[in-house]
Amino acid sequence: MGASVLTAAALALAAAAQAFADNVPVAPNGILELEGHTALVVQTGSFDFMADVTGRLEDAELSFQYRALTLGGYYRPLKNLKIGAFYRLEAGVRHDDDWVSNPTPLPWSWQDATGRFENVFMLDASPRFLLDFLPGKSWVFMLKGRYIYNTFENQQSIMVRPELTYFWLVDRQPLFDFQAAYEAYFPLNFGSTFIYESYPWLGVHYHLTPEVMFELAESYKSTVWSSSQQWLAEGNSPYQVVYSRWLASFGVIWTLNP
Amino acid sequence: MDAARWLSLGVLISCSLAVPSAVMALDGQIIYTEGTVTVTNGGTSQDAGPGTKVSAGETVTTGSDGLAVIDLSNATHIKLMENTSLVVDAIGDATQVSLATGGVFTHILKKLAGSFSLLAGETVAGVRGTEFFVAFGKTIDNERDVWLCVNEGLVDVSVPSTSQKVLVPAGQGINIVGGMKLTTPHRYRWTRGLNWNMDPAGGSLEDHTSLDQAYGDLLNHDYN
Repeated sequence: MGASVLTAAALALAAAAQAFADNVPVAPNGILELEGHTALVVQTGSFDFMADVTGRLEDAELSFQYRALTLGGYYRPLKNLKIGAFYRLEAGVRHDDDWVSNPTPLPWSWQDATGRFENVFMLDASPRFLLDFLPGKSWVFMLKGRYIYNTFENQQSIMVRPELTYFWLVDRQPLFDFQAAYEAYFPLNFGSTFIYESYPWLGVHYHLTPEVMFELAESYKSTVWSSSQQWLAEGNSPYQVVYSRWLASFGVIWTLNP
Repeated sequence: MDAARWLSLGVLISCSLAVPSAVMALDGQIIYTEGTVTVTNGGTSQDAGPGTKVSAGETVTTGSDGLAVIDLSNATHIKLMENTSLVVDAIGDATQVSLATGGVFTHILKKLAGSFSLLAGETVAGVRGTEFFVAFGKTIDNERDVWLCVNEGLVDVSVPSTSQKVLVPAGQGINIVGGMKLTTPHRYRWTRGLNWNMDPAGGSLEDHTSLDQAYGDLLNHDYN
C-alpha cells in the first residue's frame, strides 16, 4: 500500500516536472541575429541632435521583429562629459510577460509583439577621457550610464556601458575607429535577476568622409527570461531561462554641421 | 626645428601680379597695433606702433596680447595674430616674408609688380589668391603642421621635395601635415570664425580662432 502511494507520487512529480519542462520558454542558443540602423547627427555647437532608425531580424527564423525610431540628442557641458535625452518609439520587444498560454492551459508561447508600439524615454550621462599615454595615443575611454523608462508596464532599468575606442588617424583625422565595450542592463522594477541583459561588443567605424561613416559591430547577447505574470498566476514554479545569441549589426551614420 | 631649417624649407606662398612698380613705395610699415609688438633687427628689439618702419631683414613679433597689421609696398597687408613672429625677408619686386611662429592673414590690396611670397614650415605653396590665412598648427611627433585657408582667389600649394601639388579654392582650407604632406582641401568648419578684417574702422581686428578646432575631437564621438 505504502509503496504504491510513493510510486504514484513519484509519477505525479515526474509528470509535473515534464509539464514544467515542456512549457518554459526554450532559448534557441547560439543563433545569429542581424540588425541594421541609420542615424542622422546634426552638430551645432555643444548640441548634437540625433535621429536613428533601427530594425532587427530575430530568432532562428530571422523574422523581422524589432524596429525603433529614436529621437533626441546630446549636450556637452564639459569637454569630458556629454549628457543625453532621447525618446524611442519601438515595437517587437519581447518582454517576460509575453510568455502566455492562450487559450489556457496549453500551449505556452511568445505572443507576437511586432505590432505593439512602446514609448521609451532615456536620460544618460557619459564621461569620456583621452588616454593619450597608451601606445598610439588616440584612445578614448567612455563610461555611459543610462536611465530607461518604458511606458509599457512602467518598466525602468539602468544601462551601464564601459567602452574603449581606438582611433586610427590618417592626416590627423580618423579613418577607422575600433570599439570594445560591455553593456549591461539592470532592471529596477521587473524581472527576477540583477542583470536581465548583457553583452560584450566589438565594433568598427569607417569614416568615409567627415559626414559619412559606416559601422560594423558584433556582440554576444545574453538575456534572462524570468517567469511571466500569467505563468506565476497559474501556480507554476518560477523559471529563469538564459537566451544567448550572436548579433551582427551594420549601420550608416550621417553627420551634418550646418 | 631650428629657424634655419624652416627658413630653408619653408612654405612658400606667392602671388605674381602685374602693376607698374613706379607707383609703389618699396618699404613697409606697421599701420596698426594692439598689445605688445616689437621689431627686431640684428638682435636689437624695439617696441613698435603705428608708423614704425619695417625693412628687409627685420622681424615683427607680437606678444600674447599682441596684434599688428603691416603694410608692404602699399600693396599687401599682413595681420599678425598673437604670439606670432614674422620675418620680412625682402621688399620690392620679389617681396618675401617668413612665418616663424603663430599665424597671419594676408590681403593683397592691388596688383604687384613682382611677386609676393610667404614661407612657413617645410612646404612650398604658390598662392594666386588675394586673401588667405596661414598658421602653424599642432606639433605632433616633432612635425609641425601648417594650416592654410583661402578667403578669396585660388591657392596653388606644392611640396617640391615630393612633387605634390594641390589647388585650394576660396572657402576651403588645407592641412599640410608636418609641413610636408598635402591633404585634400575641405570646407572646414573652424575657418568660419576667422576674422579677415584688417581695417580698425570696420570693427575689431582680433581673431580668436583656435587651431585646436582644426583637429578631430576624439571625445566628441558618440552615436548610440
